[in-house]
Amino acid sequence: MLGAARQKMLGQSLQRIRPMEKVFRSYSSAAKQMTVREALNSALDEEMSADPKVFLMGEEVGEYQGAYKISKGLLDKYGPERVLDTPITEAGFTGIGVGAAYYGLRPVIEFMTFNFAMQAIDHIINSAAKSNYMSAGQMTVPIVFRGPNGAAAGVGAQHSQCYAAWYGSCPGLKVLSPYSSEDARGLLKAAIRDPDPVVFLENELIYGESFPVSSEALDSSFCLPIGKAKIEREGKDVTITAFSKMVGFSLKAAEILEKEGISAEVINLRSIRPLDRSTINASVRKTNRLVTVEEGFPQHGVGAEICATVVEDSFGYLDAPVERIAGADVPMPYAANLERMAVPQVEDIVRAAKRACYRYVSTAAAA
Amino acid sequence: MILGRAFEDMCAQMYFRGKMFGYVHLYNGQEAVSTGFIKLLKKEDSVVSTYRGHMHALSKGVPARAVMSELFGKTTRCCRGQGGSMHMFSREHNLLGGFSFIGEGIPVATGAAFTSKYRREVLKEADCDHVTLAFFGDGTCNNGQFFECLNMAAIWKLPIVFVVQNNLWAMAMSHLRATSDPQIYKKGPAFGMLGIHVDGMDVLKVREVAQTAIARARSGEGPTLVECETYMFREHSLTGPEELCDPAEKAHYAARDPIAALKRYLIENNPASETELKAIDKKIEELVEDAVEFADESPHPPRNQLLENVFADPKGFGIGPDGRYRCEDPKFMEGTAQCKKRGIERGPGGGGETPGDPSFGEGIISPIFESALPLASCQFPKKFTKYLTSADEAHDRDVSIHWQPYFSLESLLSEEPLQSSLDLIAGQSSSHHAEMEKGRQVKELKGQGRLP
Repeated sequence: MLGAARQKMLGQSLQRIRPMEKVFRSYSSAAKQMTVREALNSALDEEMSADPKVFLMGEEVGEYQGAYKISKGLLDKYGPERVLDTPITEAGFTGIGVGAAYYGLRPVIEFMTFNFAMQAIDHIINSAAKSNYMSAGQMTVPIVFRGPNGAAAGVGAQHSQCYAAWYGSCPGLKVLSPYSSEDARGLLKAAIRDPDPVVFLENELIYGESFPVSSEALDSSFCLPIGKAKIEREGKDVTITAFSKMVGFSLKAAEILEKEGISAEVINLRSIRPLDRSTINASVRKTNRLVTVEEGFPQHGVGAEICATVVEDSFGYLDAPVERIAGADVPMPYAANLERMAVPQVEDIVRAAKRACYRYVSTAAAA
Repeated sequence: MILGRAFEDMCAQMYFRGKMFGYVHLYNGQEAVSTGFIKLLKKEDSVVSTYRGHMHALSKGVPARAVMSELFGKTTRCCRGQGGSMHMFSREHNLLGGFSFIGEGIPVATGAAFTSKYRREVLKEADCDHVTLAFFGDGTCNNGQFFECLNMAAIWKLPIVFVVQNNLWAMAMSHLRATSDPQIYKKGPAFGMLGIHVDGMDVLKVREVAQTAIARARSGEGPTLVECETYMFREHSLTGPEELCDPAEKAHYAARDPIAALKRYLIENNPASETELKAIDKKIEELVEDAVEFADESPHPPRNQLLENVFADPKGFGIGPDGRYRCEDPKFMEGTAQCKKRGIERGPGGGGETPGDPSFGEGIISPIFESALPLASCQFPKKFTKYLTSADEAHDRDVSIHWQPYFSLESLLSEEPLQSSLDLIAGQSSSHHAEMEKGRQVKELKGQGRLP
């Protein structure tokens, strides 16, 4: 570290390798606490005020202030022409958003959950994702589809699916999944400014969680690059990749593992598509073991793709088979104890990490 | 209309000669609808069509050559062969496709109409009165998206005209079997908009109705639903067999051929004579022949076109106008934040402040993404090339190499030397390393049998 005044490079700073507690201590005077909800709201607010072509459309986003209060205050500020309450017509209003995006407006389409977006998935994939390709670059679709994804608490099978893998397999879409408030702010701003269709997968249970944000993150031109993962915690024994809510669980698991002498590196994927393969591979080459964590169904999931990537690129570096942790291969049950079993928990991650480390006894001592 | 008919007939010929492939849906018999409506539009007005969209493209002004070569899958114009028969897009002529899913185009058209209204009201472009036409068939009128859009267009009073081409058959499903109330125009008033029925085989009647509907939309009175009773003289698609329609029905409509009817009208009422009409016929024939020739001679798309145009901005909102990553630009955070003067601690193991510092910006950043973009346009800023520590360099180099194939397919075929990202990262001159790398890739791909 040289010099007192330093220019902070956003790209490098986000690869910073610091456990979260240290961040708190050194930033405690400068950092502000912000919930993910506030982060999303401020990002939307700033982007809408910066560009009059940005508008928000969805169910209950206006007078109800947003089904999860993400769009609170926006109707009063920008009026009903820019914050549109729609009837319950997912296919219809998603298509309207795509048509508007063809013409150069920048819609932000909110789905009450991505489960409901299945009624509109034809437009997300066939009209939005494929248009730039089918029209050879003539029709760009600068649209953002956002909403909560994955399991909430006790909402049953039809409201709890995680769509990261489905959208992540489709060329032409960019798929983002933030974890902290800084992620939420930066990625949403980048998504709105991006000229391509972006699927922005939030998580209902983290909306209320508070995270510290640096003053840079509060700047109105703050954007995170799409396609870059963040190393939330550096380690040298095992790499744990996760996105959205599972990052929180992975960090807790990493702390538990630390006490048992295993230093885990936690990667917050941030971007499901394009997947930041180089960060993942570099990390695996360093630690030689990988655990992928996700909430969705295991078959053809994000973890499967990461595993394939690592096997393709860094097979020689792996000291243990890749451990995949995913939700149970069942539609989400309703009963609370069953639901807890159907979604990965901190203990599952700890167990898998230990399995990855102790599988070969000879390296356990070094680990 | 004659252009449309001749064009579609030529399409059929070409299809059976093997020059076109896949799904081709022809518009014979319905020309009056397309011409009657689209010829009343301005250039900025937009048209959204279905898979049966060649004629709409031609009416809107897309040159016959472009459409024909798109159908042949050649690289010249329209969508460079990437869209095909069902996906015609033209930004210049505001033809928004070309949607093969039934009902998919209707919400998109509604969105385009919404944009027109938004621009007038929110962006204050006072003269923006663009109208959108959505063309679709009778089968679509039973689809949920159709009703959703009728509803939203009516509540928001969007400048759109919904044109139903009721040709009584949805593939092989008769309209009467599929619809509870076969009179589609009645569905308009159910949603609070005007519903008109017109004889779609008579281009002059269609034009009259179109004038009313379009004027209504332009003046802000809201949407209109126009049902045009028409018929298809050919089968649903060139791939499928003849459908279940009654030959008598076909004969009945063949007698009402819109082109023949208009010819008769013109000759009887004397705006044109037979010789003039024959001259038009001849001109069109030549135009279509020329289009076919042009398409024949056009080149097939080059291999590198496979991976292009997946994204408008493959690297995400991350590339500034000068081609460099925004987030790596030291001035990126300037604005209201005074990051230079803030003096925030970087934390342990942080990098140096200047590019010359060996530990400047630890962390591995690789500009490699899945969709291919010619690397030459990804100008990794030279001054950040020394940010990798030497240990990381080796790793990153290996990682980057593996993902080269996505780029090298394009560059392998191009004559230009490959500006490898590795070189930019390592700060070396590009040509030698790139050529070596290129050679290695070619060898590898040849070994795998992926290159001849």
